[in-house]
Amino acid sequence: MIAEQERRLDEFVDRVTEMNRFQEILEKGDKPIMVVWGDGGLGKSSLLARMIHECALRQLRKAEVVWSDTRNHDYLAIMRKIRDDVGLACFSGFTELVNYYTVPEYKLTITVNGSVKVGEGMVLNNSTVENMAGVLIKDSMFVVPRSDMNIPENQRMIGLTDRFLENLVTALSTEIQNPPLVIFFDAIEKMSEKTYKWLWCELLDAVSTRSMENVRFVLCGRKQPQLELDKLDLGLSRLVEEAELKPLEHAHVMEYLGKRGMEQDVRIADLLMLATKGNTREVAVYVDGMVRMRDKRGTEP
Amino acid sequence: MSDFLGELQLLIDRAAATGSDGSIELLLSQMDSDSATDLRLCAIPHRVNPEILLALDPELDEEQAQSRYKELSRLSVVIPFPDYFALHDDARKYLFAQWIGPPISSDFVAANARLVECLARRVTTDNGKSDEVLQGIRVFHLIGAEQRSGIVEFENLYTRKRGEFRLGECEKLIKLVREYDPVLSPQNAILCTYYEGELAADYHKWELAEKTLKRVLKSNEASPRLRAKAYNRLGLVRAAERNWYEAIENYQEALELTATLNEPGLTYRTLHDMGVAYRDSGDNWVEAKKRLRQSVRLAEKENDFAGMAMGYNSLGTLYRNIDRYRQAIRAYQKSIKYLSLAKDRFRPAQVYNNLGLVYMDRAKWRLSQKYFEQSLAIKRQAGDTIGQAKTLNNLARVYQNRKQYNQAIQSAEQAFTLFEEMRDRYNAALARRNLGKLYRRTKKRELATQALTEAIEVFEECNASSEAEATRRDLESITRRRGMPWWGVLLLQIPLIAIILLVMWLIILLAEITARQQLR
Repeated sequence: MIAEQERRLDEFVDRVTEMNRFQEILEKGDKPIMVVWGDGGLGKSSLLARMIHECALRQLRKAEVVWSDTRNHDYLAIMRKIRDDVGLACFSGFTELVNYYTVPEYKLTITVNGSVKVGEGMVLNNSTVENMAGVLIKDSMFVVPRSDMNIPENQRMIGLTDRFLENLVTALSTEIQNPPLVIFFDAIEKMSEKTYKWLWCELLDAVSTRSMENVRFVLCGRKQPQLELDKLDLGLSRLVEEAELKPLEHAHVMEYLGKRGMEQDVRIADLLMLATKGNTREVAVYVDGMVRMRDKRGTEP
Repeated sequence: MSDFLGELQLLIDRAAATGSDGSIELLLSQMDSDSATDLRLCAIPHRVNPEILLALDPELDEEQAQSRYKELSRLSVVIPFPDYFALHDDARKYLFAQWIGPPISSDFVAANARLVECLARRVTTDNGKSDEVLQGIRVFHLIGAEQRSGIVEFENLYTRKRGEFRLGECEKLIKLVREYDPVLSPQNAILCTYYEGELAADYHKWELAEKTLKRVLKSNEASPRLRAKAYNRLGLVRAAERNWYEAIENYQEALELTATLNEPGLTYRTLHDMGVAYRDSGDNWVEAKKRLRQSVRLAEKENDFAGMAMGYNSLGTLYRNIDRYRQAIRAYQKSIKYLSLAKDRFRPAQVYNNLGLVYMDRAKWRLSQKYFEQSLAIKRQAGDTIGQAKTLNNLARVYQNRKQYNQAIQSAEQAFTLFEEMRDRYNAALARRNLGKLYRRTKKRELATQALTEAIEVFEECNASSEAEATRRDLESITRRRGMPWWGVLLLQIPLIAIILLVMWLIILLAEITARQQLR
């Protein structure tokens, strides 16, 4: 599947403006939130894949949360996913609280399996270390609140969000010399309204209210972001870079034909533009069909 | 080339004429038939991996499934992920619509049945937990295999998720069922509409809830039971909007329907809700009492301790509202008893709080304190921070009235801290204001000034202008120059009056002496 993703990256066309803006937000950070939006089939997920690849080339840390018809991530699932992608070790406090809220009769238990290397390569000056231990707290991955307590949902959300952001800020600030962490969200139009509100009012708002300089967010969806939610002006618009995707142009279709091994014939490009109006997905699927047509004929068109 | 272009043009024109997705139809026409069939089958599930592909096309063996999976992964209509692929949303929607017609294809039904079986093995994970995502997917395919049993599973899963307050999951389940809209039976379609209305109400989207529930009620396909539920839910929506009489009308409609059904649970819950609406309207406590009592009696017949507890609690509040304190206390105490029988550990906290309020109304501070403290203990065990803050606020008032000012201050400070922790700024400001007044009472002027000033700032941020103004007046009463107290004024005036009287007496005496001398 990785080879397939690489092949698709090679066939990627256009979106130069959007990639430039992405690179700017990586480097400058004055607008740490980028929102990419546009109709279905215009290549948002492909652009996201291109950005993720860019992060890999720059050796940046990243996290991805993708919504689908069967996976409706709520605020807890989002935080868990970011934690898992960034590294469990930075989020012990958060994981502990998650367990506290979800595991009945929760008690923190510590089991040691195998060797735990802590402080490897550490240099000590004028000190003696008697003993050292590393603890990685494991999430029990329950989703339902524990039944032996009656903690209101709002309280859980506030508590978990605060703890998560504390851990995230600590993780980012202790590695201040490192390049930024990039967090990607795809298909956000499938998010529930409650989660959308949490995302903007809590997680993204933390960029302005806490010291989170070393993080970037990229959101992809079909709708333009609503930065005024429930009559609250979030004041985030100064931190947001919006990029509306437009259909492909004729020149891009020509370029794409070339990358797919088809002759760059203006007439084919004309036909495709007429049939697809520049919709990226439709162009690509048409070309899939045309490649097969050509192969069946056994001749170059 | 012109042949190629000509053929391409023909395919595009044909697709445009039939309203088809030309790109997909062209692709399918150029694939070999087995691969094309498998691509169409891949539109049935939401994700595909080799195991799913084997379930979709049982004629493949494992090696062929792997190979076919790799072949399909390379298509542009597919989005690849590390362990699976998914068809692009619009492509899946287009192909899925072809499967369900109507009429629904028998191959489609058979494929779903195989998927249900395949998923049954995976729904429960290794450590015995149910995979939430797979539960939803299983329901989706069960509907495709056998609509009736699929919808029953949907209702069970929806009700469970709603009970766990996982409204996002409920939303997702409804969307999955709605994919079958063209082939849902009218009864199942209207059932789905009911759940949409219920969900809208759960989200407090009253307008949408009302509109959706009215659609259910207008439909001839809704069963009497569903109509009764819809009327009840609409009543709750209207009550939330404080349209009491409309709510009562809706409850009445619901009751007329439940009278014809064997649904005692629905009946006494509706009676309870009706009683609460009458009570909260403030107009007709007689009807409120009647309905609430009816609710309790019916719940008792069904041995529903929780239903009885709820009824007695609401009755208690009714009696409190009409100043019948003894009856209020008795009702609340019965509620506690039935909550205990229902083994409910947490709801007693609310009832104890209500008892504390009743005794507070009667200025029975010791008893009021006792019940607030019981409420607080349960809320601490439950981990309910906001609940604790509210009860601490109440306790502060009790301590103040018992002139236990230090304890009052301590409670008010704790309440403030907890409200702040929960980011409930308005209530935190109220707590701060109460604290300010307590400090003023105990002559801690600086602390009082600070607390009241902070409260004003927060009220202004929350746009609570009347509270801000009232707090400003409290602050002014501390900061304006204080004159002498009335008794001081009186004390000072006594010597003055005495001097005046003495002078008058001397004048009169002098006048007398002068008069006597003149007479001589």
